[in-house]
Amino acid sequence: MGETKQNILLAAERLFFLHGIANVRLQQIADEAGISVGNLAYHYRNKEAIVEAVYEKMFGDFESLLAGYLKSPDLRDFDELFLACYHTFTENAFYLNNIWEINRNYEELRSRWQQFNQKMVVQIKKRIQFNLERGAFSHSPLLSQLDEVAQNLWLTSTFWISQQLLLGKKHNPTRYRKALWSLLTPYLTAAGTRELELILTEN
Amino acid sequence: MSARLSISEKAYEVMLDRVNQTLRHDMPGQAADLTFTQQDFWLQDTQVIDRVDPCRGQYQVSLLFVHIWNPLRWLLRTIRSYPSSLRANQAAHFMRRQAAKDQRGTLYVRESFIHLENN
Repeated sequence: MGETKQNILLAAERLFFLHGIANVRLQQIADEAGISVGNLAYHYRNKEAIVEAVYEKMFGDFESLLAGYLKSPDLRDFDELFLACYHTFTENAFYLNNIWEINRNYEELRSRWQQFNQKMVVQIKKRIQFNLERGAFSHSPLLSQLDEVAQNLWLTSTFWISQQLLLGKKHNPTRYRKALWSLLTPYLTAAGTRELELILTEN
Repeated sequence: MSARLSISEKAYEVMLDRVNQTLRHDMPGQAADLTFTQQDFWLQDTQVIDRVDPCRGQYQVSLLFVHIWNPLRWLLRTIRSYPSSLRANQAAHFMRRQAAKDQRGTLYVRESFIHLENN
């Protein structure tokens, strides 16, 4: 991708985050990127094309999240997922500000977002199952609530940063990870707790 | 945007189950996995005695491993059964030779090694 195109997308991301997709005009994006509207139109024929390009980039980040499934076959995998989610959602914070706009007007983006969501919830569920079989989680309470726990983990990982922004609080990876681990720690076995302590002290 | 390949949620779950299984089965070996070789080390200094016993209409071949310095330590393993005594005896002979450290049979247990107190 050329430098101008990259600048346009970065400018669009910033403006979408600050004002929302519906309120941003091509002129604003051109001004933010420091180019003329004519030059902007040469690279992207209209705002929809910019929105699609911005989201294409974001879905690329999401694909990388999915590709990280069980890279470490232990609890470290959850920790790596949490950190990767934090960076992905921080870099793509514009998405969450525009979630309803996308939902209303961009059918294909909505369907891709839904697919990604479904896959991620399934991945979290399977990660939990893997660790259940390893003996890091205890079976009795978790097996009956597996879907709910996976769903809650995904919800928190997606919306925790927005919630902190709404509350006017600063966020950082440590608090983010702590918030997500707090959903899993009640289900850890003694061996799982030891493993987690080791992982957290390493980082 | 180009058309993308998508798979059903169920198929994705099955796929990840397979990944989980692969990870469980293809774990790298641990040093502890080989402790059995140390635990069974005493079997190197054993006399191997072959036995043929009639069992359930067949001739059952077993190998008895007796430690040469401490005959009270022994292990009996049933290998398999044969329909005729000749075949069973022949198989037992070769099994013993295969299993024994010294195929000529120089490792053997002496009665004097069993320290029995007569009083």
